[in-house]
Amino acid sequence: MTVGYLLFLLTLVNFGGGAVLALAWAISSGQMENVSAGANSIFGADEPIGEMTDTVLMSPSTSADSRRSARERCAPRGA
Amino acid sequence: MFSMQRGLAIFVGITFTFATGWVGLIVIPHLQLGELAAQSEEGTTEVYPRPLQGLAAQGRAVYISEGCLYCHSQQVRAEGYGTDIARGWGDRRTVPRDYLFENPILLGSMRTGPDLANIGARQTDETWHLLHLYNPVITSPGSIMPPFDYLFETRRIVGERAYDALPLKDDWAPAAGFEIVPSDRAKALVAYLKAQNRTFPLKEAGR
Amino acid sequence: MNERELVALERARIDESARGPVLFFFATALFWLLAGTVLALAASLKLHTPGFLAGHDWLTFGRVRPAHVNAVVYGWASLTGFAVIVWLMARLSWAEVRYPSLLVAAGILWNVGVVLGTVAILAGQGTSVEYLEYPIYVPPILVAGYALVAVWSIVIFRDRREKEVYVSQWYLLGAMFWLPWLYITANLLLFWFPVAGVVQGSVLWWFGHNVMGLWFSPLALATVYYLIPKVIGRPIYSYYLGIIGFWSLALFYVWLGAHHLVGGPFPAWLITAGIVGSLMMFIPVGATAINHHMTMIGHFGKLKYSPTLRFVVFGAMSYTAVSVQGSLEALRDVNLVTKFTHYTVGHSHLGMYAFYTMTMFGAMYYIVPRLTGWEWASARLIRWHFWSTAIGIAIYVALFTWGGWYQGVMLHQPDSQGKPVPFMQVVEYTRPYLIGRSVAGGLIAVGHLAFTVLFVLNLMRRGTRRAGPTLFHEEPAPVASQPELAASSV
Repeated sequence: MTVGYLLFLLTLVNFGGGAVLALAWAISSGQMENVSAGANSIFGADEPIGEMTDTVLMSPSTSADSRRSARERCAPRGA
Repeated sequence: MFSMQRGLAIFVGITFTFATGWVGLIVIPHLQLGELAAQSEEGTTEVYPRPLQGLAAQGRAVYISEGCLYCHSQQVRAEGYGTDIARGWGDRRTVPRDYLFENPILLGSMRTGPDLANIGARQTDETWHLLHLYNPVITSPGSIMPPFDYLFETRRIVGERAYDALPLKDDWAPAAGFEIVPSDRAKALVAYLKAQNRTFPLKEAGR
Repeated sequence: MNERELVALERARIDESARGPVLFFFATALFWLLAGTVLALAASLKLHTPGFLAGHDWLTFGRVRPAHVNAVVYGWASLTGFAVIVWLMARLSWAEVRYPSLLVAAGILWNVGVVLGTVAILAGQGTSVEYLEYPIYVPPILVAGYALVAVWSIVIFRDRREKEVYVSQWYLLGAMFWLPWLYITANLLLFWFPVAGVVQGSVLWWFGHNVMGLWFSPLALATVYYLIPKVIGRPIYSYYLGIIGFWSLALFYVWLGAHHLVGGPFPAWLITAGIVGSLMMFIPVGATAINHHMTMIGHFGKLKYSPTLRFVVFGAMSYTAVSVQGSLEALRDVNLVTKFTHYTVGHSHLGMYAFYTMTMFGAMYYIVPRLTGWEWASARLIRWHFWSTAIGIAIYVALFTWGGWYQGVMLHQPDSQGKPVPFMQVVEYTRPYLIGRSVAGGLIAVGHLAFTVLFVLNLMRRGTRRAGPTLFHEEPAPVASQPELAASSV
């Protein structure tokens, strides 16, 4: 039993520590800098930040509304 | 290269974190429990547990093929942790040694029906088992267990009734001149159920 | 052309390269969803009405239930998983899929395996090892199909032109690495070189639970992390939280399997590790929940416009719910009540349906039109799909959470004379809940039918042509301008 516990602890330290080390190295070697670049990477010139890309259920309302431009309907209010 | 390093970091990290659980849940228990052996009672030739033999071993295959596991468990929880023992499902909890020769083990994860770890100790009447399998409602009104009538054959009575024809009464009885007889699979399954007996005293179970 | 149009064309080219395999995966996945739904309804009806379709061995509950589970896990869920792996990897790597016919071949292999396995289970050749019921000749076929998908997706990653590795890609790479390790190890240790006795239990639940948390959850999370920002047009709230969420999931989830063993014939330290790991999961789940919620804040109004957003947000919230519920279920005192009851079935459906399946519906609503070039034909059918499945699964989970809990309490609390409540009484108590589940299942099935109609219509090019990259300033959502839909409300 005690061998089991010892092995278990050793493994936890080794592997868990290895993971922590890998993470620490990743941070120190600059992988984590400029995190916003990562977050923004899914957008592009054709699907920029600020525009919805899925408006399938956008329902037309009154005739006055339907004359609003497409871009205006797509853009979010606020941020 | 910037992203290759990141890819490598991800890979290394994933390997290490995953390996922790793998070692903990699989390797170590295997080392600990894999060395278990059967136990013999002092002064006797009795050995426990024994691998299933003959008809009971065949019955195990029927248990698996019909998916009995999806409603029945085969493990008794400790006294004080649940009412398994109070219900008479066993007189002690089950321990790793009880399952030594089982492959695959059939611990189960649902108790839509009662636990069967000790059904062989609890219910020894073969006829009860056969009737219950034929249609559970006969012996247990209100049961939601499916009928296993396809494990039985309807035969015309030739001369005397078969010795193992089911004693079905009233609405359940077959047409006049016919009898319902268990198939080999039904008999094997009942043999398996009657072999489910984990009451042998074991020190590690507290008895 | 201006830059916007150039990028849009490139995006369309990348989508086009993925079209064959992804549509094939989605179409066959949908087939298995329908098959799994039929099997589910049969199983559910049989549980409260045991005479239903009784008398045939291939339709007995003990075979129909595992056939259902495997059809939805290996059929529906894994095939939608492959689809999002390929499409997301291509999109995020900004690289085209090369030799897509190889991926279709992989899909054929996989489907052959699932067909063989399903028939085998109904024929009585199931192994009765949960989530690994397919007989021994099926896993090699699945592994071969999977290997093709994984290798090809990593080739896309290797060929990437986008230098940023987005958080979804970590989840996808993680999932693709974890699954073969899980599946092959489990098969080897349970069937080819079986370990002794109860160690099998440990192996089985290490496998079973990790398939949820390290294969399906990462695929769905990768989808959520991409689609929520993409649809609303706003980056994820905190990339840092995403990083923490991923690594803590990787570290803690592997231990959870042992929480299935609480009270069973296993060493105490193993079970404790499972409980501790289960509780540590609050860290990644919390990080993810905060991230998704803060991203959506101020944009919940957009749920009106996007079916993808509705399904994906429903899924993301269900992820939080099922994870919190799961962590609590691991506690010994809670587990004492819930283990072996219908509570756990409610929990597994909260995870595999409310979280995973609803997220995948959202993914299909987004991806399919971009591959076929046609919009969804009917907003009314979309609303039917969403509301039937959302309400259906909510009823299902609520019924089984409540009923399962009291089923467990009845099993363990002695009556007024201090004796255990008779088992048959507990069974009788659960019966109305089982009937309610069949009703909920019927509602869910209606939603599936609506979606199937939509999918088939889209493949048949019924509806309106999707606005292409050079026309994106035209009227959006042509489907909504059809007169019969103009009056619909939510």
